[in-house]
Amino acid sequence: LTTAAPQSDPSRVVLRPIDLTVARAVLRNRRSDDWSPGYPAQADRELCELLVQRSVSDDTANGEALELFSPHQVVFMGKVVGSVGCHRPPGADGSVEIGYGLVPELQERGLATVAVAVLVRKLFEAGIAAVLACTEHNNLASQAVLRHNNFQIAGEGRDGSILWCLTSSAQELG
Amino acid sequence: VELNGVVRDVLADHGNLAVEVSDLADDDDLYRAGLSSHATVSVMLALEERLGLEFTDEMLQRQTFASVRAIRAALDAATPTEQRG
Repeated sequence: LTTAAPQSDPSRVVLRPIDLTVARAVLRNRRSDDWSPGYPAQADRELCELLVQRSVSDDTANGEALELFSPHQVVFMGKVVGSVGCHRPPGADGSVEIGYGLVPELQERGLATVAVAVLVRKLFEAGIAAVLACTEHNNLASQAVLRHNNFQIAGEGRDGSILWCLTSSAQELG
Repeated sequence: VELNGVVRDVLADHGNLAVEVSDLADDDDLYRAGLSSHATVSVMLALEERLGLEFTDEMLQRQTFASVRAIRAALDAATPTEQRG
């Protein structure tokens, strides 16, 4: 049940790929007019730093292939309200790990769930076999985002976190 | 402080190298000296901040940060911050 006005419908979430210029603006906190006050948060900076790290660790990384696996800004009602994206391109097993985050004032409205759903759909369309994510044990809101997207607990992640997994076949069944 | 000195200072402060920067020649491979991708980003941001300029997106490649001399060459071609949007 929701009383949200049509213009605040979570389905209006748009993902905007972050390129190196934007990533560095985030890292330097060079603000853009369409950034909401709480953006960027730590999770946003981490995704941008991973993008720049990938670029400086590879002489061939600056290409179109980077875009899908780059972070995306989550845009809602004309404002950048968070980020979602892959930590790095897929490994040999065809899986990718994603991260996501929203500004505090817009959390628990279903926006992150929609943003993750849009990203996951793009990844599976690109042939990714499995999407992974890690959550802290006490971050129930983040866990709810994954549950709503049919992720299943797959074991222990980094630093004792919970590892979640969604395969393309499971998503089709979900 | 001349530019090579700035590069070496920043590498010492942010490079997290496995060797002393003073032991490195200008052409020595910084990655072999322990420069990680994480530290490379820190070095990049620190150089930009300290010198008031920015590497172009095209410069954000591994080879740009491969040695003190390579970084110095990139800085010579970098853009002053105020000229960017």
